[in-house]
Amino acid sequence: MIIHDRDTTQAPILLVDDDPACLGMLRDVLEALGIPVLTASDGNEALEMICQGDIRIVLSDWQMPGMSGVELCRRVRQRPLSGYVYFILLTSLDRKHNLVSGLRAGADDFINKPFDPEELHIRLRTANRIVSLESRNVIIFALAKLAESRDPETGAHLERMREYSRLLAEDLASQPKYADIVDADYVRTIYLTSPLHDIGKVGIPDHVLLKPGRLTPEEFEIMKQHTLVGFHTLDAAVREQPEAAYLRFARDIAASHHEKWDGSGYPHGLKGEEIPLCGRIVAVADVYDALTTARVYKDAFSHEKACAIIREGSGSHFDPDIVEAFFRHEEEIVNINQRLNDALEYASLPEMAPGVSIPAGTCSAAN
Amino acid sequence: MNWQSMPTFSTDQSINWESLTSRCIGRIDLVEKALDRFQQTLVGDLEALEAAADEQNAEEVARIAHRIKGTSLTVSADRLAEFATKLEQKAEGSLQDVDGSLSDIREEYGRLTDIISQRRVGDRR
Repeated sequence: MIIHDRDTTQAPILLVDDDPACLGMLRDVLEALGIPVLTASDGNEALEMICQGDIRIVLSDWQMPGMSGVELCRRVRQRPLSGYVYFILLTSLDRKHNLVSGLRAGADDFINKPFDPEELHIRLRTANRIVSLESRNVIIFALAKLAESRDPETGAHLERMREYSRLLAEDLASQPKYADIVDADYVRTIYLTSPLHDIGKVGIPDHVLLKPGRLTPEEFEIMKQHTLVGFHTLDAAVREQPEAAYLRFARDIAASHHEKWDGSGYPHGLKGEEIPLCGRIVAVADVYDALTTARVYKDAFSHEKACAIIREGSGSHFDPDIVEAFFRHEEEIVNINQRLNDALEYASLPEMAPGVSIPAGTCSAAN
Repeated sequence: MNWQSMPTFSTDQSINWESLTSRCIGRIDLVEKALDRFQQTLVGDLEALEAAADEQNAEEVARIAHRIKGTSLTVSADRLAEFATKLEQKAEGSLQDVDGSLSDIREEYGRLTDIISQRRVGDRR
């Protein structure tokens, strides 16, 4: 007996089968069980959907014309996706499928056709449990918050930053010029890794990082090192796990978010498209947030004033395409800014950490 | 798993209703939808099968027979699945001696069409 309960935490499942009768019945049964379903009728369509959408579980027929289920699985494994995709192959009872070849291609499980709905349901629950266990995203954000804790005036900066970055990347994904670079996976990855942009600040000495008031030129040179500290830290992680695309992404953001379009930024003075796109996106998000946030030495600028500065920086500080994307979503940016207002965040922090004194000042905005 | 170890089909009826209803988690509306889709798919597959047989394309006959078998098993049309399996096996060698299997499939398709149509009429009453 199947328990037909609706599991709201169930990740959407992509069903892939060239046979509309099998595909339709699978879809009907899973939907009746409360499981969100997407369908594709061949391997190419499925691969595109996996790269573009938020799909974590794939249930694919083994034998399909063109790209087989095994080949689809192999291609999914070859792609550096932001999250793990649990892959189940549907196999015929009478075929001597080489299950080893399925496992070698990276399949996680096999289900016989015709399917038994109870078995299918249980196996999909297992799949869902496994993809839910992926705690990487939480760890990344916790790491970023830890680094940020040394820089107490930033409040909900990371939360806003990643929202702005995602919004800008989503816009670029809809522009033909960036269609081949920015897809749904790119958008997810920038949301995931943009909070790590200042992780290198953990390596900046207190007398510089926590200095109330403006930095001297010498101190500023030290502060600039946070981009390289972040780069080297994350590069070490990349060397440890070279297949993890999100680590390379995070490293590039940490290293390049203070570069400027005209080459006057740091640490390397990269110019124009020499600067990784992710760094160019985060640069706009970071500066806008710094401008609209109050600091000891300045009030928060109004949205209008911050916009004027962003517009003025187009083509000098910022990539003009990103600035255009910014202004296409001005209203949403204001909403994020208001929704994730600093006043709502960490109000109880001093009480939570008795004895820890929070310094009154900080370094200049968006160092 | 090979053909010898396959489960024995219950060929005394064209559709194993108990198995189909169970696969549709007891939902009669899903059974109806499944049969409608099955019938639509089968029309095209049979046309393609006849064409491939006329062209003496054994590989294509085997491929379509395999597909018909899969579709049939999905809706527990076990007898058609059995005929399709026999055709697939024969066509993997050559197209000699496949006429009997093709004829079995045509006849079973006729029976299935009648059953599905009668069921539809019964539902409307």
